Amino acid sequence: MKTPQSKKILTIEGLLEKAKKVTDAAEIFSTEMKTEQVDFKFDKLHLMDEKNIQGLGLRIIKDGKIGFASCTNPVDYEKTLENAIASSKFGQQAKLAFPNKKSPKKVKTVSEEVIKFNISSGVDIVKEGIALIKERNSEIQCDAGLSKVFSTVRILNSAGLDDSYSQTGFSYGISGLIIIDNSFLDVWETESSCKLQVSTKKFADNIIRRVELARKVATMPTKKLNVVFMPRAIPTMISSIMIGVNGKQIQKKTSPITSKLNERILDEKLSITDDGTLDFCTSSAPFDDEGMPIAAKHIIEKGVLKTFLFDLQTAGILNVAPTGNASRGYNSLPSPSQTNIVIAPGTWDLQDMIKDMKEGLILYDTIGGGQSNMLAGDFSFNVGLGYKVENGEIVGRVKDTMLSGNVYETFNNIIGLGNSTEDVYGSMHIPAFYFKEMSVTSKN
Amino acid sequence: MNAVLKKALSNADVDYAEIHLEEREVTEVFYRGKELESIGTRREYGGNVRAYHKGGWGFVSFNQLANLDDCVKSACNHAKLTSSGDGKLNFTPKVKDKISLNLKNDPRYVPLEEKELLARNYNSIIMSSPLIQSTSVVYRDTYSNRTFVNTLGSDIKEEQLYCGILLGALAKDGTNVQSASHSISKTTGYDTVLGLEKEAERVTKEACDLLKAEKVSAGVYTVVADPHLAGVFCHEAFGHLSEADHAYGNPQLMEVMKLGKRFGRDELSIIDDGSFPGQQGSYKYDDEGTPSQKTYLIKDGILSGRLHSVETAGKLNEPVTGNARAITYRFKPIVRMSCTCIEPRDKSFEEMISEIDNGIYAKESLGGMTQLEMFTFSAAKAYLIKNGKIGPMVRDVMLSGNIFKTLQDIDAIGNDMKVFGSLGGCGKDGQGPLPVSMGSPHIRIKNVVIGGK
Repeated sequence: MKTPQSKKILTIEGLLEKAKKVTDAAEIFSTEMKTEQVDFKFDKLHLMDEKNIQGLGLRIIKDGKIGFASCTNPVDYEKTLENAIASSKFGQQAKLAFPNKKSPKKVKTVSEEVIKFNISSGVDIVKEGIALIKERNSEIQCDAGLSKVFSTVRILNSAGLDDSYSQTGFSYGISGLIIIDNSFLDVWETESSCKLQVSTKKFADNIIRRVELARKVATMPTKKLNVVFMPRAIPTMISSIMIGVNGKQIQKKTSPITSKLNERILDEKLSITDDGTLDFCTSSAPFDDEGMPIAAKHIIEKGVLKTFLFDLQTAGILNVAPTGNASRGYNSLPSPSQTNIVIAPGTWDLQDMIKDMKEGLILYDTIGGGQSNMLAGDFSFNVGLGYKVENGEIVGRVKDTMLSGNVYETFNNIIGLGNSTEDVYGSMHIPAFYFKEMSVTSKN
Repeated sequence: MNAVLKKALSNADVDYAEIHLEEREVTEVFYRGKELESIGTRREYGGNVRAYHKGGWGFVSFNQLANLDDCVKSACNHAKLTSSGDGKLNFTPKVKDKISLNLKNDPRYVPLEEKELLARNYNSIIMSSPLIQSTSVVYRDTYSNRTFVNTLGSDIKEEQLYCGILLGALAKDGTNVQSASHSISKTTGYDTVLGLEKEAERVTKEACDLLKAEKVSAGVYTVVADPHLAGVFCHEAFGHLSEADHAYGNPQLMEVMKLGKRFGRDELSIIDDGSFPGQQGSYKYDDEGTPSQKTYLIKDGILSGRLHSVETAGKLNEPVTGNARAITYRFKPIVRMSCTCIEPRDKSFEEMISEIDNGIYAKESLGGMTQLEMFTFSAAKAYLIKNGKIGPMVRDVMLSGNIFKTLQDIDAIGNDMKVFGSLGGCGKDGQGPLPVSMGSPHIRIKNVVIGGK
């Protein structure tokens, strides 16, 4: 590690000025993040972890081409400019212009409560959470973690923009492990927000209830069955659609829905919104990672494909308007990504979905999602935690069972959606899904 | 510099403390379809202080040249706050060592122009087929220089250089999109990525062939796994269970993973070996300063070892194995695999296939995941086996099962051992991708559940 004292070091502003002189256009994306975390292993406090990370990415346009380099240490700023220029020789033709307008800071992303939160009081919260579980079932062994984050994003560019925002984050998760009949069961709950929120009691109730329901193992047949996906099992499926609407896949014409804009591609009951303007959601921000304002928009409205998600460069190549969906870390070029995902609820009560099934499955967790041909929408995964339903009643836990199909077909086979949404990972609002006749494969 | 580190550590008022510093430089060339998606170099400097006190750990990472004394103080305070009053660590004797790179063809001295040309050439081989819609060709070399000192007096500097390539082809016919890929990465230098034109042609053909392949019919099959897929299976399904950090505090799991228990037939032996030279998962010292070594996890069908850090070895009173690794300076070392392999036996591939009436030959893998004893992983490509012969290609072959049953169901182990490392790696507890290797000969497994139409 080199000591910086020996040499005059550029500031961020100085780096931009220097870059402007030798390029057509330049942009700096800089982040700072402090994370504090407590970890519990096997019911006991195990680690306190603190991370102080910052870094900077420099994107330049020279002779009409894009160059990029990144570093973490101000001593490397000059070298980073050289690297960015060197890479621009091979870079893509720039089809973008950097924005120069600051965005209004309406969306709430900072919680004073989180800033003031002392991580050592996290220890007591988690201890209580574990105790609530252990006092009802001492065989359950818990791993748990609680963390707080404070981060700042700053974007400067040669068009004159210098804008920044801060974000707090708070996460709490607990997972209970138990062995029933020589078979492992891992039941977990987790929540994230920009706000301080701790659902200790709800987590304990849910974990205990799911363990109790898993006492019996039910035999699954291999056949087409109706399946209820709990909200937290849906992201695996949604991610295929998110790849399908990603501007990068559209630009390369690799998405199977490239030519389907304004066509009905999914069930009419389905409306999906990309909304980075929701207060305290973890993917909310006043502007995206290129400084473009963020707005809410329908991706799918009543089954109809309404928009793709673009950053500046992908939109520029296709000659369409950017959508404010650029996402990046300091060490990479931006690419399009969703912000928060909101799926509109339907009319079904969860209990009515279960009652409706003569023979079926309720799915909580999947194992091995995301390994199939996601782009094509194919999925195939193992049931991590799921229960068999017979004649409207849960009869036991399901093991050695796989679900497979294609998202674009399955999302056209929806019997109904749950009448309320749940927060999933702090960046998604999702109802339960009730699918008709999915392909279920079992070892039995 | 190390004098500064040692001085900072001298203020540590805890049972044990260590400092890691790391310098990293990553050069990458990424072609997607016709376009060069990105090219360039990322530089990072960073470090961390980790402290241990009576059962508790404190960890502080940074990437500005922070005040080391303050970091040591914070880490020690965190450790003291976390301590529960008991616990011991199992150390190997202190080490002073410096491992410098000595590569025949060091990628750091290959001009960026040459790397770009190499990736472009592979890319154009794949793009030359009319059915190919897009590609993913990634060249990457990662240089890392790790410094490690601890309060026991160890002082280690180890340079490493990973160099590899991914050749990915995406074929499209209407709404049918299929992909195939090949990736290789090693620690032996730039030669690793040269002369792969045949592989580029092969993945192109495979992606196109997959367009015509039928989806596999769901069912329970006898599966022959190629060395690549068998290696992934051995790593994902079994290797993770051998990581002692999941087990030491759980008496039920310790009972399941009791050394001396039978896990497979006599022919089955599984090792983890970070001292295997030149592989992606090779290193001389782990991130606690313990030398890498060969560890038998299963020997002749019997569970005979597990993977340890100084902490888990101390908890279980077993010898430390040199498997505590962190992906970068930002993370604490945790128990990880290095180079995990099924040892070869004497069955030939032809014999293995000829004895199957109705089965699947599954090759390579798109990934795998485990949740304790349940595993799922996908074959990148597969063929039906009918009456002892390999038949037509099928797609979407996803295998799943229970590891304990499946290890017993391995009924043939081949004589054609191969070891693999790729640009991807292993993920665990939010740390990924970590460079690892895996290897195996062909193996045959009975009663595998395959999802499908």
